[in-house]
Amino acid sequence: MKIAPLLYTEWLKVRRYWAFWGIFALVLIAYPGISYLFYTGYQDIRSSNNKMDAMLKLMVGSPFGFPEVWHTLAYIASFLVFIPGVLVIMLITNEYQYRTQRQNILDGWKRDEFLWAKFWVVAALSILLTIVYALVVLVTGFVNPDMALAGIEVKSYYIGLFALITFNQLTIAFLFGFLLKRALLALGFFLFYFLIPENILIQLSRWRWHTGNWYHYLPMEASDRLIPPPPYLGEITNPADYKQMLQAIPEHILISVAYTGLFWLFCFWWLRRRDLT
Amino acid sequence: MEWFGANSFNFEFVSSVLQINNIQKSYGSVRALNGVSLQVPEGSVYGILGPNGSGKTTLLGILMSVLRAQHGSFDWFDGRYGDGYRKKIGCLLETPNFYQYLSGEENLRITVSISERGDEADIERVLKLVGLYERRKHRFATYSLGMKQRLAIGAALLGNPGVLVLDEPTNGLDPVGIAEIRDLIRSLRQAGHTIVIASHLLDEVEKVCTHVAILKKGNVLTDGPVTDVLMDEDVVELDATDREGLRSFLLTQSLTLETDKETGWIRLRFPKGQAKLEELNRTCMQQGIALTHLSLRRKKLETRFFELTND
Repeated sequence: MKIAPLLYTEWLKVRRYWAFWGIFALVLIAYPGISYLFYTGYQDIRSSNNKMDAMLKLMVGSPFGFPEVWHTLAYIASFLVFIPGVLVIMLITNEYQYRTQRQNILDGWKRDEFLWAKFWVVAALSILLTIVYALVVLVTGFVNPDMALAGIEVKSYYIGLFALITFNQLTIAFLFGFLLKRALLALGFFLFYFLIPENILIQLSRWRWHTGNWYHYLPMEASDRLIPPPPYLGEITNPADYKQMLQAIPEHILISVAYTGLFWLFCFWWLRRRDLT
Repeated sequence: MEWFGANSFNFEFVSSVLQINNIQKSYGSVRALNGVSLQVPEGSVYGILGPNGSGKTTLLGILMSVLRAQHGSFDWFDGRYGDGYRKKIGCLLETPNFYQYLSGEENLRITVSISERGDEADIERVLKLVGLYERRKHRFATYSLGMKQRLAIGAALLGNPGVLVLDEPTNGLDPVGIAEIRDLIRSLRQAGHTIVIASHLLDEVEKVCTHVAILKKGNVLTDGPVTDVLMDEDVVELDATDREGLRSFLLTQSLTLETDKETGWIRLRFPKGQAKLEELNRTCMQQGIALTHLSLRRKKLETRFFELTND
């Protein structure tokens, strides 16, 4: 199966879709925007007086300087995946709304090809967002007065982790759109799931039920754990837990890849057997 | 209007374009198709007729792989293209489905990209063919129902496919549009295309189809060449200057007579293939009755359709 013709067809679908590009522009603004917000807030606190500057440096180091900026901005940006999630939900639910998923099959695509096209769109979007993240990191790192170029490549592995968390969570958004078919419904359920049920289960398990760490393996939580809070946030609360969290990253990479694969396999299985009405 | 150019379409010779074997499909307890078997010969215009809910669209949906049959099989082009057969078929199934926010022209580009049929020049050709060239830059959402239908027909014609599957192609069209589609189907047939068409417009189907299958509640009531399906008996119409003399003579021959209410012609019914017009004419002449009208009439499709589908 050739990827280029599939992606070209998807490109034709969105090339003049102004609602798509409007939200895409929001995404492009949101990533550097939120980074700038945190960065300037941090700088403002530091410059408020010399004592605060010294204390912050001692406590948090240089979160917007290399190499820590890779981690800081990956953590901040990972909260914004729901915005491109809207794009993914739009793209799949449009196909149901206009019945064009059926038409694409009538015109000659195999059912698998239809899904592969969407898979590559989600993958391309994840890569694009990762590039935006990396550019924001580089710009922030270079303009930061604490810049230490010697450490620029240290922690750049967060590029891969950011790509994976983005692809994983956009896949979950796709799954909601694919199964629920209606844009508003899918969007509502996705945002609800993104923000509420897992968080409630986690808090209940941690503070009330004391039922171990099973919640680490929930789909969204598993990918969230790919990018733990930066050290100055994580270590302060519980250094032992934080160390464990960092050590578990490879395990969560495997879990996230497994979930992502499972979700896509489910979509292929589902589409192959059902009637397209 | 010349609908169709002289360029040959991309299609290799096969005697039967489509073979359907015992297709069954149910929706819960409702049996939509009950063991449908048909054969569509190459170059035919094959009409699939039936009342609402007879299973026409379900059958076409299965043949185009958007619906799954529970039992049975079908083979397009003797199976030579595998699951890629749909790229060889121009298809309009139910309502026209396009991206609302894109123009007609942009939508056709997507069809070309997926089907690998046609190119930019072809898009221009079909847009002119279906009368949408002037509106090609307008968003699909702004099209009238008739224009949407025309665009869907245009999409099906991209790349000049050898086979067309058209489900109610005249839906939403005005009388001029309906006549144009009829002309188009005739032109395509003359150019050697095979067309499978589902319609409830019996008059239109009768005018263009070479073969027909009549469905009711998922069962094929009859199928075959239109002449075979329509002429289940010989109906002879005749008239003479001395109409009463003719009537009296025919009654002496122990024949059952009917009278056409509109024309007043006398109508006789014989078992299929047994009406002998020459002999009838000669006998009348011998009785001194000069016939002014004598014809072997086939039934209107509408008549045959209601005969078959009415309980």
